[in-house]
Amino acid sequence: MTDNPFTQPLRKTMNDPQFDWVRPQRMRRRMVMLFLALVIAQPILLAATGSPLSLLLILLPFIFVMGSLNASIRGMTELRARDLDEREDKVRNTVYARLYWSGLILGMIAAFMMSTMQKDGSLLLVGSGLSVFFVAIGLPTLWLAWSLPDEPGAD
Amino acid sequence: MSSQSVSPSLLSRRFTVLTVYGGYLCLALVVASGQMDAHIMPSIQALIAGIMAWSGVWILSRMAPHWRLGQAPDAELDERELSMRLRAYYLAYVIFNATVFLFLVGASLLMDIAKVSSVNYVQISAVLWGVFLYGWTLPSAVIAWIDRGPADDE
Repeated sequence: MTDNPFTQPLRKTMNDPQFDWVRPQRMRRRMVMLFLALVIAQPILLAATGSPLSLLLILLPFIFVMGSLNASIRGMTELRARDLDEREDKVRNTVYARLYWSGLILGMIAAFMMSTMQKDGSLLLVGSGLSVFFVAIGLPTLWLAWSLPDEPGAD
Repeated sequence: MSSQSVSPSLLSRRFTVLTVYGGYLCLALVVASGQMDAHIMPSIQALIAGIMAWSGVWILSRMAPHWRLGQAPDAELDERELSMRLRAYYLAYVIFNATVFLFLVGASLLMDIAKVSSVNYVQISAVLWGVFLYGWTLPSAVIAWIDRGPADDE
């Protein structure tokens, strides 16, 4: 029986069997696509409604998708090094090193897009900046979720 | 490693990192505030920012063993060094994006408080040179900050 994922240690949550459904590579890739759909929909929704409150509509599915993605890779990008085994730590750090400049450039682009908020920048541009920032933050997780092979013994 | 014999102490490395990043941050804030506009042309201000950023890269590159750990090709590093480098890139990635977030929040508040409605060429230059300095040197700086090699263990 699994415990409450909100009260147990993060390491336990990330390895909780209740998230086994999202761990096959096919499901992980679907979650990545869902994440990308959300970051594309977010600026469109923001521009269409003209209200920052519309971001709340995206927030819940976003938390669900990001949480599922993290659990799908057993928290490799979330957990501290001491909570990972040696192989996981190495894989995680290698991915961050490989994506370092991509993440840096995305972060910078996001900052510039969002800085237009102060001078009549369109909500579409500001929302796009926010989306790019989400991608910059989530890039290693997305990369791992997409590329890690199925775990041994998985159906 | 023979290079460890010329490695500066942990304290000195941390002081160097803080000085370089802090110094550039101070310059960027002065430039962004527009206090130099009346005395120095925008192109010269941008040039000063560029020179400061390159100087920062040069100063940090003087911490030779740690600079090499952050920048050398994988083939030139042993397993321990490679592991330390990969961890440094992980930390650098997280630190960079956290900084972008804090920068955005800070800039937003500052612009609201100071009623600034636009950014100019000099401010953008200062940010771009800052990203250049920060992006290039951060992994090496993280290694210099965290490495408690044999010299520090004594």
